[in-house]
Amino acid sequence: MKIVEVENLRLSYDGVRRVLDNISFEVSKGEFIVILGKLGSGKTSLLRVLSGLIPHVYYGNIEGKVNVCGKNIVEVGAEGLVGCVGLVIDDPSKQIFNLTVEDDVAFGPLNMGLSEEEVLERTRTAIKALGLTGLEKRNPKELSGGQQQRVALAGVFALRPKLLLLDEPISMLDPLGKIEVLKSLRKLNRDYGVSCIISESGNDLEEVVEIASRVIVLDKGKIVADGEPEEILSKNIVEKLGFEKPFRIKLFSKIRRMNMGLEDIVKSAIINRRESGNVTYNGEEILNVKNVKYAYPNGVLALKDISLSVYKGEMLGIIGQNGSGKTTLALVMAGVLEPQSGEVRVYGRNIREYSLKERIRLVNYVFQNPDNQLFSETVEEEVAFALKMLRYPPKVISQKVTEVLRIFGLEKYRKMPVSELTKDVKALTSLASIYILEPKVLIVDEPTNGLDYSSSLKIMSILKELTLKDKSVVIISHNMKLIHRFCDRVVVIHNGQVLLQGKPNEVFKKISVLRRISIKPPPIFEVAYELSEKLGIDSERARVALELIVREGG
Amino acid sequence: MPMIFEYEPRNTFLHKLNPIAKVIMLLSIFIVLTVYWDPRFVLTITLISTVLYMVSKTPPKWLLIVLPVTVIRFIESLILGISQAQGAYFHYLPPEVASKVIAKIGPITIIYGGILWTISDILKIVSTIMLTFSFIYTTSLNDIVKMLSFFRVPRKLIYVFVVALKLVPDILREINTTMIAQRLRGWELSSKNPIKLVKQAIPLAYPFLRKTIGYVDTLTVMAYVRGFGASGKMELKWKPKFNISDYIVIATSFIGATISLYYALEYGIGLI
Repeated sequence: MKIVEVENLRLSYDGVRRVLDNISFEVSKGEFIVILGKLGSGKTSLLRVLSGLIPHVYYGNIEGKVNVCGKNIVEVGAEGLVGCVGLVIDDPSKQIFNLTVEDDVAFGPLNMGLSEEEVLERTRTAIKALGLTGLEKRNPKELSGGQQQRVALAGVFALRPKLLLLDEPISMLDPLGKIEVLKSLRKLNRDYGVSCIISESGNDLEEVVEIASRVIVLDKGKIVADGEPEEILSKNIVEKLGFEKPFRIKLFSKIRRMNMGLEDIVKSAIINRRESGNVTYNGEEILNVKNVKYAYPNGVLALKDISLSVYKGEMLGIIGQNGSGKTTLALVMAGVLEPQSGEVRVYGRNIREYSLKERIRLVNYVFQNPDNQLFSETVEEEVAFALKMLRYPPKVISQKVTEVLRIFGLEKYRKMPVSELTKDVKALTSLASIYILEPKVLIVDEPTNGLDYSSSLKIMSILKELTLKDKSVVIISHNMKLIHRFCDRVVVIHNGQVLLQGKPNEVFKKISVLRRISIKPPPIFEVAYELSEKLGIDSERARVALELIVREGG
Repeated sequence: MPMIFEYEPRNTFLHKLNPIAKVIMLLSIFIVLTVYWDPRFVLTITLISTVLYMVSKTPPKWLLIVLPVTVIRFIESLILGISQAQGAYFHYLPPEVASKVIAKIGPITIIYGGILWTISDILKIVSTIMLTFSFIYTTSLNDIVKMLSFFRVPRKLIYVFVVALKLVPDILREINTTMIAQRLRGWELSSKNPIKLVKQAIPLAYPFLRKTIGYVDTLTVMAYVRGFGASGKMELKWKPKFNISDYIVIATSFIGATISLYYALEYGIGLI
């Protein structure tokens, strides 16, 4: 049975530029499809069309045929698809309306005008299916990101949809949340036969593709590839479009070409290659966090005796689950929050002893969402704002703005209205508007959140370049691959304490410790760990060998 | 940790009360409060409101937050009470009591009746705020939806109400984040000149407005796909469940309000 039938779909918002161009595909019952595409490729628009929001809630010119559950979406709209299609977006907090889990799950069935018995039955079933039993009376806001997203899923599942449309549902979650949600989606798909279409812009491809039965690649509004995951992702087109192939697919396609067993290849690679030692790091200490404790006004202890240092010219990665204390630590480091005990010293002096104007030029913090700070008309004015506040002379401001725009690759956007910027340029503008103060330590919270893989790489590369100018950059992120690739050191925070710290290779090889706190290291470490267990060799050596195989072909 | 002006699931008497019973109780109090002007009676209602506020464990902090607005309303009441009141306005107080001059400030004559009116008006404001906050703190959004549907309030109107209630605490969170983000760029509200202050607030207002619009847009869509945009013809079949305490509250409220109104309108008790 076909749940979705799309034929020659064309969509434009302005009547000129086509956001979706000649799209045709079908979805059968029980399929799990990943729509892979960069930012602006048309993924969200496609999901909005399939959910009936376009053209009924959002404006758009549609041509072609789009049938969902046998209904023409142009005729019925989202209203007519309730009970057939469920939509889940990236931010769980925006989908939850009620203040207890069970109330929120019951919200949809209640709106459908079902009888009390049926509302209760559907609520109970959805709560059980999504593994939320025991949390019924809890306020969703007190739950973790993964649990909140599962509440949102349960709310949609209670409507008994045949098709779930998921717009990057794990992009804003921590590693544990991603695991939880993907596990739930797999269950809904396999046990309840719900077809799923999930959009993905590259950063979570590795995880998402593990449960997919099909991948559709979208580029500039057109389908450029459609087929089974392994077949599609081993094609060069994926890399050409700026995505990184999942590690396991990359590894196995190399192995296939080499015509040898993985174990033999690893052994030979170890023999043939001299291990490159880790670069040791001995910079000057800029910032020191010593025995810091911080409790929120409600008494929750967010940081418990944390100590760490930030050195000149290093990129430090801070990782951990949501609620582990990362952002609180960052705000304490930036002097925004005052710890109850312990202290943060910058150049040997307590950060709270500096005036606000001195402090923001020593340590500064960039919020996760650029929309929290961008307000000016143009990029240039936005970047100049901080210097204007500090009453710099106009000539100096102009010079510095030019220099910062160059560093962040924003020259061509200089006069562009901030409201018209794409997500990645907004993120860069927000970084530039803080960097113009030239802080010695720049703390950046989830700089790649909501971005596609190539934009993430671009931002991380720019931040890495800042370290060459002797700036220290602290990155808070859930993207382990980027942390591994760019950071000089990694600190793992768990329950308000430093659990591990060291060079990325040293930290990520401690698989068993990371698994205990549900942190998924980059796949190369996992495969190396499995191999080391099997071959009885050191996991670090296995990792080096795997790196060599993937990079050079053995 | 609940944000301000937001429901929190707890186990208090008011939390457990059926929302319909709660609304009947509050409406009864509000009606009596509107009719009564004698400070002694209004004070009694204020005490009842205070007890309900405390029993429901509504955070006292909420009252502090609205204090500036409340004080402005107090001043307004005071000005009206002392400058506008005339003995002839009071139909139930003996004329010699109502017109009794307390003090004279220039052209303004402060009379006893005016002072009574001011005290009552201030007590009414306090009671109304406490009762409203207790209701918000003890009633979940779903209960509000069920209750409004029970009273046959149009679905679209219920939707606006639901979004508004969800929006307030979330927006307050956003303002806080934006404020920190801008302070880290050297921004501060430093001027005492109101025009300059408005200009200085732009870095706060723009992101706030943009986020609010985006937020409302997403909320609308997410509510819509969960059936909130469904046909207005749809009737809810949810039957309200009442327990003994609900019946007691409904009966007490109804009888209390009827007796109070009867005595007020028939004998002028509680009026000034």
